[in-house]
Amino acid sequence: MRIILYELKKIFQLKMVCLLFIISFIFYQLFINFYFEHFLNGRPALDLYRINMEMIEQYGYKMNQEEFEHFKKVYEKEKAAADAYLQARQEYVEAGLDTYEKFRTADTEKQEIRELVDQIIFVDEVDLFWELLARETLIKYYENRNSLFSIVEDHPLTAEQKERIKDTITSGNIMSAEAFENYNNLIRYVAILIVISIMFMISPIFLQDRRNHVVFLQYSNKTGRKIFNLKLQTALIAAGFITTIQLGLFFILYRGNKVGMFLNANINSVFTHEVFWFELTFLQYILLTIVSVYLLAFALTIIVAVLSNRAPNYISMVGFQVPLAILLFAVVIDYLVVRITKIGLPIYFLPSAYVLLILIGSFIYFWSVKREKKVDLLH
Amino acid sequence: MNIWKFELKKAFQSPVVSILIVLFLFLNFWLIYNHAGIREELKVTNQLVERFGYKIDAEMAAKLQAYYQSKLQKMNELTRKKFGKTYERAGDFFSEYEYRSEVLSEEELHVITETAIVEGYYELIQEIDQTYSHLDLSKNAKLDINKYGLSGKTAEIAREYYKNLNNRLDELIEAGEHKNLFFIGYVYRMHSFLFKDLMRQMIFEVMILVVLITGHVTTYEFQNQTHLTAYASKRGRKLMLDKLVANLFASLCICAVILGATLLVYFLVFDYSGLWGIPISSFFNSEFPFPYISWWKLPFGIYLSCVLVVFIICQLFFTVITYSIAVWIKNNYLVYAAFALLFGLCVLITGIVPKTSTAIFWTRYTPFSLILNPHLWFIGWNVFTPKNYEWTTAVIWTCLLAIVTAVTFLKFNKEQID
Amino acid sequence: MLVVNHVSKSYGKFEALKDINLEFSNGVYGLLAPNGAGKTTLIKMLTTLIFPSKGEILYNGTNITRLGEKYRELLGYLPQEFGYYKNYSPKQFLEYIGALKGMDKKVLEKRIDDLLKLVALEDVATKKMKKFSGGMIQRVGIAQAMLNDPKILILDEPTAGLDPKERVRFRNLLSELARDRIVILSTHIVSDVESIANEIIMIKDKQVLYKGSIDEICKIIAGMVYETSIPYEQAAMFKKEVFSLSEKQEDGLLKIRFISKKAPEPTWTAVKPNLEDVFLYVYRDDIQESSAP
Repeated sequence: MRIILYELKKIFQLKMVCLLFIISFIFYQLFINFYFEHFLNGRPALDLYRINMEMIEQYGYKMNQEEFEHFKKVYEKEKAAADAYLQARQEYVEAGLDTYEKFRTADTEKQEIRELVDQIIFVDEVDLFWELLARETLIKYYENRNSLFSIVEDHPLTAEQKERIKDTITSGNIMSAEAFENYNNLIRYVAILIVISIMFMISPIFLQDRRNHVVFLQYSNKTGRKIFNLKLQTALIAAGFITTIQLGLFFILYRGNKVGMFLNANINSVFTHEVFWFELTFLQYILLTIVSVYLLAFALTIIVAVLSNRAPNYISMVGFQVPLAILLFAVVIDYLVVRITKIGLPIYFLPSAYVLLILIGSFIYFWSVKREKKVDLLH
Repeated sequence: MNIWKFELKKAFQSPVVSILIVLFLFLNFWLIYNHAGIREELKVTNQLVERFGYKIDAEMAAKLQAYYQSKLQKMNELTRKKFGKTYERAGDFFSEYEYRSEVLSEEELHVITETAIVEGYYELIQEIDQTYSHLDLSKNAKLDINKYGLSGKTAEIAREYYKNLNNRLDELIEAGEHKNLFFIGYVYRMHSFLFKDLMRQMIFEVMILVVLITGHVTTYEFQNQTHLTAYASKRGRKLMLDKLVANLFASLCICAVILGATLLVYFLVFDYSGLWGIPISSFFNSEFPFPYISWWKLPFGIYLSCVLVVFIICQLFFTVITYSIAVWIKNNYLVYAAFALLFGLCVLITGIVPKTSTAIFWTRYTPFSLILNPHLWFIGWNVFTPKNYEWTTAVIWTCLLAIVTAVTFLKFNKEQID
Repeated sequence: MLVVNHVSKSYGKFEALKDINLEFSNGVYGLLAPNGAGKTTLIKMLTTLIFPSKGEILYNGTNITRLGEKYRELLGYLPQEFGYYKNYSPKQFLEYIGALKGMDKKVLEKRIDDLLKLVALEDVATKKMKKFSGGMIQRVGIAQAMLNDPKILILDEPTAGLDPKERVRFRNLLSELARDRIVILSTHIVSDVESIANEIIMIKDKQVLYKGSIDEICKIIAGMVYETSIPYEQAAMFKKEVFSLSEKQEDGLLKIRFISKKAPEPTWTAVKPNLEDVFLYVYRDDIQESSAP
């Protein structure tokens, strides 16, 4: 334990921690902040989110046919209000846009008409009209819910997939697509940031001691080659620590996105247009992504640490991580962190991917520890 | 001379460099391969150019029309025979395509496809004048001002910018620069593919290699404890100068290998014969309602060369930047981190300066901002792609880096090496 | 007791050491060989950094690899390339090494203070080692090797970087330490071991050539070492017939120390051979090859 503490101190040198802090700051500014600042800034995203919220307040997390009828009635009522709004305006009546129906189907190719429509939608941004648009979207989603059967594009549906989609369609689950999409974007970038952080902090772990020749002292001391194992453990602890801090910081900021209401909503919903293999609530899904990020972080740590033990110099150390990073950013994170358990992939994909990842990680771990016990230390 | 050779050897002896080069080339070839499905269709353009030339005028349009009609006739003969049905447009066939494909042979399908493409050219040519007369750049100015939240002085600059671009547009229309055949941008997006997807990918690949190598070579003596002997030798601290030359040369080699191999394959896969002289501002090259308007009349071949020149200049900048950092820091791991940080900061700063300050424009004059949009080099696209943006950046940074390098040398000459 | 039993080490086809047999009990052993003779290989095997290809190394009858931690616990080692952290102070660094040696924290604190005093670094105990001179670093290295009061102390080129005064101090320290432990001193500087080593081990051509006390070793060339003075003009001729050990100028003549197996001439004075003579004689081929002026 004492040695691990010393090794941790070496990993978390002040200089490195400061650099990591700056790297994270820049990364947040460039990639992550956008999803905090612009969440629900646009329209109709904001309206959709608000109405989703209202739906949950009124109907609970599920909506049945009866409630849907009620929802449509509200829509009709608002439409009437929109009619009144239009009729109260001379220029709209003159242009023949005296009802909402006509307003919606107006021929915007015509300059004057387009200007009138734009005036309400984009210039005045009349809430009522935006809300109507959002309600229409949601109604359409619900009415066309059978289109969920086509979310898997590349191959015909299996019986199980059909079953799952059917369940989702009949469930009437209410969930905000905006909140879900926003979280997926965020966790994707946070996972990338965690990968970068771990690579940056763990890379020197063995290379530094070998370049300093301290390894001769380490291996000839009482602790001896056990230190290799201890340092791997240190790396894992450090990675766990880095991941926890990054995730912690992220979720503190994420609280500002105000998705609390949806945490208990089921993510399998016609309104998100997403189907997953399991009946997960948004909160459960978030927890699942967190677990995935941790597993990925640990597997990555082992690879980076072992690479650090073998790489002759920093150019190789960094260079060999380039393909690893490309692989992680372009493929792995999208399959193992974002939208996990989605129905497009076989049900056993995620568990087997993680079992494989853990197996590979453990194999590399034990193989390298074993190898290190016998290796001749030359230079 | 000999010393350069030894320094160069340090650059390429690390197996990781060759491995990365192979990997990057593989990624580039993969990208080209994924896009190669359209290569047969693109050949129609070459044929048309061969037959009619690429300049579009009344005479050429008439010839094309005749050609199109004969094609359509041939196609209708075919479809009458096969399906007992004729089409007014080849495009109409494809809306029913799925049900017909099984009956047609490869060759027959090819006839129809070709007709459809010729038809596309024929129909689009009719639209050119209308499209360009509808372009209202003052609207673009308003759009930019809204989109980027400009106001006051910066909004004024935006308006001024579009006035300039409008002049250029008038000039371009006057000269008929837009009336040239090219691959249909709306459909094939070749400009984006070559100059955005492929070129940007290459920029980052070469940058990674260049930074890795430069950091490695520059700090080599300090990392291998040979600094005491090396810098006390006859060549002494001038060795750092040799390292700079070797680094620049290594960067050129990397550029040559990645660009050479990738572009060779690209032009083998996609046939540009007959198209090298077509201006990049051609209507057919445009991919969005707003066309690509180059600031000067740049035929495709010249445009590509200019892009390559800027590409290489940027890579040399990255070399010198990394080199300067490395002389100061001496630990190449931290050099890599420092370069990444500098990159991040330079890009970040453009986003956080107040929108009312002209800093929003001049902070973009960095190679880091420049490389983000290689497909817009020399093109007036939005308020952030002014005329001479590329050259100005190159000149400013050449001066800046010359000063930085000079200071770095002075510092290194007086430095205590222990 | 440390026993090296028929140990060979090879890397692929290259053989670094061949059938080494040695025994160490308490006392100072000088491991004497020119660079590249396999000295460091032997030492790395004694410190478990590399493993014999053939044979075994036993401590009190048990293979040191099997003993593992129990063996290394008794070990103090100063490598030829002593590694340290530039950003650490000697105290921090010794604390780290102490942790690796599994020492008790309180004992360690006391021991570090004592040792830093012993190697005269107590004034800079908390200064970063970045600015230290080579000699200071070497003293930190010596301190870390002695940190756990080792039963087996192995020092690879320990006096490199020490000034003459420090050298003397260090030698005295070693002879005192050697009373109840094994000290193995690898060096190619003969004077380092001459005064303190109980036994000298000479390695040549991957094998142990001689092992014995200084007197025993010197007997190899007993009766063959002479000194004489000759005019410069004759020097070249003369040196063809004898093996010259050292030359110096004296009263306009060349005073030469040499080895000759022939019957002595009257002008020659027989002298008592010393370790350096043996070293030069034994490694004459190596030396002529590697240090030709």
